[in-house]
Amino acid sequence: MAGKPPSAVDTRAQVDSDLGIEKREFRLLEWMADRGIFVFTTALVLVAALFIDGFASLANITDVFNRAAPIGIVAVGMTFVVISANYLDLSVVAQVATAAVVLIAVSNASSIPAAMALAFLIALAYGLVNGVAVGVFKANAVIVTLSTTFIGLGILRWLTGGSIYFGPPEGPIRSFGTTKIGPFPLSMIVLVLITIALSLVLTRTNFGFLVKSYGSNREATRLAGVNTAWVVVGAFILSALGAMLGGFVLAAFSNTAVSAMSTGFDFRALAAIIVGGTSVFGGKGSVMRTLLGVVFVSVLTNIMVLSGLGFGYQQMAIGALIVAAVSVDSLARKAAVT
Amino acid sequence: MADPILECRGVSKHFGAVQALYKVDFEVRPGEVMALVGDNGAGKSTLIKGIAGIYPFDEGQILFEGKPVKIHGPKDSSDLGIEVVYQDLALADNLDVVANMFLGREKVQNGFVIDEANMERTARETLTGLSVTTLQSVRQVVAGLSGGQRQSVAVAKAVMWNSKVVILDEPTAALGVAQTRQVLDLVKRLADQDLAVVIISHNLHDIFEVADRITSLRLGQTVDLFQTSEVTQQDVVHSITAGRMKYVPGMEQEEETA
Repeated sequence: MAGKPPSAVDTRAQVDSDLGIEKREFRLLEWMADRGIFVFTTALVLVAALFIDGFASLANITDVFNRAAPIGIVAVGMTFVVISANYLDLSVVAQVATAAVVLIAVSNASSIPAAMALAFLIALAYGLVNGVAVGVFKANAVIVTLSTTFIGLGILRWLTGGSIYFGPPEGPIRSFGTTKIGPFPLSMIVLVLITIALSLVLTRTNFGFLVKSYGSNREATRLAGVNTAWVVVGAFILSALGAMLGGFVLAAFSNTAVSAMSTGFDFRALAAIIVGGTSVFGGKGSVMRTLLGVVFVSVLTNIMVLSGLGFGYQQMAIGALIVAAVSVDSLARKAAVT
Repeated sequence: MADPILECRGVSKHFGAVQALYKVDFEVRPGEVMALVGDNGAGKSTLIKGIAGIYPFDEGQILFEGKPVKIHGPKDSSDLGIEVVYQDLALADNLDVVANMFLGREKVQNGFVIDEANMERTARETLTGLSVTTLQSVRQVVAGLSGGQRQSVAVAKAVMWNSKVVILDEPTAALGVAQTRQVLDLVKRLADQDLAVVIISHNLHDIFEVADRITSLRLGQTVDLFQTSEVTQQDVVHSITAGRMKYVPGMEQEEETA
């Protein structure tokens, strides 16, 4: 080949300098969408430690971890659904409550292994129903999981009559919920281990790779001969297993279970995922980011609790946080295209 | 002259009441660039989608290396060694060049663990083999590439799988002059490596530059098969717009007279 033609890199550089000012303005958004969480989380923890009375105490830190763990475990599983560009899995609300009630109620009546096995089957059923409806029938994930939440909570309330189940005052469930290693409750260690495992699944395996590529461009993935339905089913099954483990941990922490105990888990988990920097448009994100997002959301909630701001304020803050995060995500994406 | 590696005999396809293809014959030989031309709605895209297994044909026969084959899905055609580079390129914007080139066929160790180093090496070798030199890094995200670079990545992806037939759908439609040059050079290199190349294009200038033969479609039928060296652009334009059709739509038997 004689004489290399002027490469495309040259033309891009030119475009960049033409739009110099605009570009620089948008870079900030891209930076926030990409790196913001590291800075914001660090800043928030520092501010809390310095200015909020009682934040830096051992008892408070343990409490933050205890409350963060169930939501975190749900969120790292749900991250796969978000990366696959299916928005979110709202049915985690029903799944967490179901797993918690099954763990306590069935282990009271029979045994813990039986309770866990039943919860596992229920989680698989949730993952399959959601995954098949979305992946095979191409139904909208928000509507499908909203509906399965309704079905799941309906069944749970019908079977339990809305009553509260208490675990035995002593036993494996209670001791799991109370054991600590330093300031770290066991539930937090479970969260970290699951995060590492799922992070490896996302970055190192065939399946994780396909979840990302499906989320990035589902048509291209389909044309490459991938069985895309199974990618979606797999993402929803991981989300369901996360919700099951989150339910176990939640039940162990309070040693009680009731169908209404997981209210708000869907949006708290979503907040953690997108504040962490995983894009709601799919294809981009990581499980480790979700862990950081969980820390951010939990510390923010804790600061509000310590400052005497009630549940209403916390809900408003989570809502505002989601709006801000998706807006930054959206603007950064638009800026990246131009 | 080599025998055709891919041959379609009398293939038809209809969508509801619309007959998109009617008894189309099409062939391509190894080491040859075959252009596929026709007006909008002539059936070019339907023909390649049939070959790619996206919309399997209703009737007719596909022969690959002289043997009849059945193509029911994208997997079937890629197993045979047929790769299609789609007009919208079918690249995943958020993934890097390597990930895109291996999309759907990732190299794995122990059954499911991605072998990144191996994938990166193969991708780089393929790009170098095609003299694609404008990429700064194979770890670049595809969203940041120019149109010509994206096209090059899509073509490299297609040839990486020891493919025998590469079909390019409008590869230069969205490109500037210099980038079109890059892609046309790339097309010629593919044919030099003894691949069979099918190129769909509206740009007769590009076609006369790279194609050895030209198949012209009109209203879902094959109207002409030219040797590029024996015709002028005028002849091809005439064929595209007013070529004689063998079959009258709605009638089964062949017309006897011109």
